[in-house]
Amino acid sequence: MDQENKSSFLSDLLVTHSVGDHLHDSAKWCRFIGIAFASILGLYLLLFLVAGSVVAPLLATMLPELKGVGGNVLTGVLVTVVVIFLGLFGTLTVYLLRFALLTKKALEVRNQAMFNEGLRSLRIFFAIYGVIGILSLISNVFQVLKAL
Amino acid sequence: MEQENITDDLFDVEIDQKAKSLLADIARWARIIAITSFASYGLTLLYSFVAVPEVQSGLTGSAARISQIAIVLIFVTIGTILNLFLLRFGTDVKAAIDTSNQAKLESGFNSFRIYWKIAGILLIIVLSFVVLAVLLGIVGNRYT
Repeated sequence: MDQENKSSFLSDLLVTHSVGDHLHDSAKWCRFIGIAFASILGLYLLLFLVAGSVVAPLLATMLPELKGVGGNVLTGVLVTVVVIFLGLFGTLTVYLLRFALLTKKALEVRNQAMFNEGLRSLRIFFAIYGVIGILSLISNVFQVLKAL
Repeated sequence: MEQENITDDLFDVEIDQKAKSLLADIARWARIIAITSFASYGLTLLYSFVAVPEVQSGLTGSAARISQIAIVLIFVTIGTILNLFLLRFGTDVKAAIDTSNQAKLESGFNSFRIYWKIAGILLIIVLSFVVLAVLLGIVGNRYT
């Protein structure tokens, strides 16, 4: 029975040592990138909390088109932008780290469910990354059309 | 004996139906990301050629334009190389799933590994420059 299961499993795609090593290496780099991004986002949040009250008036002096906008409105807009930015990139970082940790662990303890969970995190990461890519492409198209 | 060798070479983790479906989605998004990146790089190049650069102090108009185009070219080249690996990953994994081709799967995951490795090395370089700039800024402030 076991032999039968193994041969049916061998007839399709396998996680050989070569594939496993590639995934293990990828997970290591993803973990590093995830930790670096989490630290950068943490520093960014800290900077915003510490120097946030200074940034809004500074922004108003740097961008003359914002001169007529009230201080409270400007702060509100700034907080919204920062929250969206942190939420989006924070989510990306969490899913990248989840992929890295789950895949590395799954290969070490040979756990199929954990391996699939890691792949699911990678799919969500790539989906969010893809949507950001499409939106930035659209913004680039408008930028070029404006310049022409 | 041969059967034993093959099973010894496995991680006891397989690409089951669930993993296949997830990998197919991942491969699709990887190709979308790579293709949109290539299109964005093309537009950025076009923009750098048509947009009038802000003249920086000490640089004439044409020097500013040349330096702007050179910087854009460097970024676009690095980005294109990086995303070629992502495209290869997406294409190979899709082919592996469609045709049950083990060699394509291995080649795809190798490209995936190289993609993250390059991204990690680039991140180290960028972070080093940021740390250096901050240190220079601190030193500069202390002595002025």
